Amino acid sequence: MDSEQKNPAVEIRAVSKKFGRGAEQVKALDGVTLTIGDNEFFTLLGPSGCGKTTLLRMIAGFEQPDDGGIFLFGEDIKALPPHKRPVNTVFQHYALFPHMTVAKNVAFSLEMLGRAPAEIERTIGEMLALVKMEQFAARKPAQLSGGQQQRIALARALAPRPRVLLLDEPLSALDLKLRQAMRAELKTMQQQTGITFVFVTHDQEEALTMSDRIAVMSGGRVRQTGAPRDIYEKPRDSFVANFIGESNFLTVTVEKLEQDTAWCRLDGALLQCSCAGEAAGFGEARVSIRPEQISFSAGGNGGPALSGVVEGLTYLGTDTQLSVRLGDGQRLQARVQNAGREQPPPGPGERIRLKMNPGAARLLAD
Amino acid sequence: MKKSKPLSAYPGFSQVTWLCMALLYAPILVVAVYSFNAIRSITTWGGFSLAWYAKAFANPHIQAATINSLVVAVTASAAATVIATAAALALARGRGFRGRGGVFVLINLPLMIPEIVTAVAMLIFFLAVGFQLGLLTVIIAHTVFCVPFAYLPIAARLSGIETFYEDAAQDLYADRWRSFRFVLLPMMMPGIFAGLMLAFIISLDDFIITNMVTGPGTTTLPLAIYGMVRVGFSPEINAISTIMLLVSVFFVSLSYLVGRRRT
Repeated sequence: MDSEQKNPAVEIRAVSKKFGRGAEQVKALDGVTLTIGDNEFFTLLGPSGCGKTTLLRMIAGFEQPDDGGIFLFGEDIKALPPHKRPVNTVFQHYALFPHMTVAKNVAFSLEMLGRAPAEIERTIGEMLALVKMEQFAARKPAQLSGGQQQRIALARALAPRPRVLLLDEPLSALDLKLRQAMRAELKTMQQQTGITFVFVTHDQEEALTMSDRIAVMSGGRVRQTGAPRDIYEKPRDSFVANFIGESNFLTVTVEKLEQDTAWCRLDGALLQCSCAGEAAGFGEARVSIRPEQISFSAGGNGGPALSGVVEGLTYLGTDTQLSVRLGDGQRLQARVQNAGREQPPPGPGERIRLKMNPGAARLLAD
Repeated sequence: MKKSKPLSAYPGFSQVTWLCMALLYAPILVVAVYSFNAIRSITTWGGFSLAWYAKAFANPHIQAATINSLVVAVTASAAATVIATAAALALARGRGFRGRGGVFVLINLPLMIPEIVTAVAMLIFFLAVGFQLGLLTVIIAHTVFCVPFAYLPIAARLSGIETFYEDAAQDLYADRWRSFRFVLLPMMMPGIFAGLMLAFIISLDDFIITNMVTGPGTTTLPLAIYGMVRVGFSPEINAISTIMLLVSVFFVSLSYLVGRRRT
């Protein structure tokens, strides 16, 4: 038990994988190292082709790494075939067996493991209750809606009580309302069962709302790993800043560096930016700042504070987005809430004073 | 884009259609109708009777030929289906091997080779290896030419089954064999059944190859009908032909319906 507490649920060490041959060769994974803790809701987030699904299939045993190691609670599982790994998968297209009833689908793994019939019966009941599908036990998958099939796929994967549950874009086939409801349910289920979830998605909102930690991937590499808040507020590079949420990218000059703060000159004004330390250097650099971190007031005359000219306004319902041109020609987007504002927003051509929340701008590594 | 005129709007469309249909089905209809003739004529109608069916069923030659035909068709179609299933699995699911495309062509090529060439080749082969011609050589020959017919619906079915079902089975602790036995095989079953039915009918109907590789005293139903026609026409032949027609239509329809069924 002690060793289990010490060992992370999943450890990926310097894993690489290439597909294809010769000129068509693609690096699906390029030196990926990750540690996923026990009981964690861990998300692999990235655009299609970033290697997240390959990594998931590797943990399940469907792909073999060319290089590196995969460990499950400290045990090297690289040589184990999929049916000998204590992990289960919720597949993107559910992959429910169409010729079996819901109950038979849920029972499949237990029958393969040779469990006693009484235990199998009991587990079917428990699992269907967990996903609130008790009354559908005798149905065939084709008689269920997408959301119901999703629940059965979840029940089937949880039935053998895996140490780690792998979820391959399980919500992508559902419509928006259902997807949002399932997010909350998945999160609750993970907390109730205490099983480590490794969740693959390309949907940043999904990743931000459900995860304990996120690994942002692109081009077969992990760009950044961290809590949703860190990923959103302190993106490491422009890919992460751009992939998650909206961001302004501005060119600045770094003038002073403290522990995790960088003082940067932008169009004559001095900005307090956060930085990772490792990435920082003096001279020209790029920062990212979220549109909602920029506030403004009327006036401004090019003094020490940042100012700009409004070029356009976009009404977004809850917010209004302003397109502003700075004195040095750089453009940025600022966003303000519509509720509770007394004055009307400035019109096009008006000069406004801009204020960035201290530390909200992030010095990027690239 | 310009909307094209429906085909039926062209002048003469329905006339041509009916002519083609008549050419295809009128002779068969005539055969079926005269099988119920009360008199011994296949051109003059003499009233309705089932006498020729009774006579055909009582004919010991036809009885023996029917039994031979069924033995050959059941054995050969079953063997061909097993081979075709294995071939489809190897081509669709086996790890990529060299000459995959070539194998696919080789499996389907017998459909294009003139049957008489296959028949002669088989006869020469059996004589060369010293096989005694008889029921066994017929079964072997039928098994061989039934494989591509069984293969087509099985391969079509298999190609429609996504590999993630087997992944799911293996993820849920089934080894390769059990993932095949409990997931892939049941899902392939409609295709396998359709292939079996098709092979059965192809075997039952075959004349040219059977005629070439059979031995003295071993007759199948098509050979028996041919033998009777050479002696002289009688509605008895019509009766047997009509029954064969119905059996064929039944199995081909069954094969089609089962093959199309979604799980």
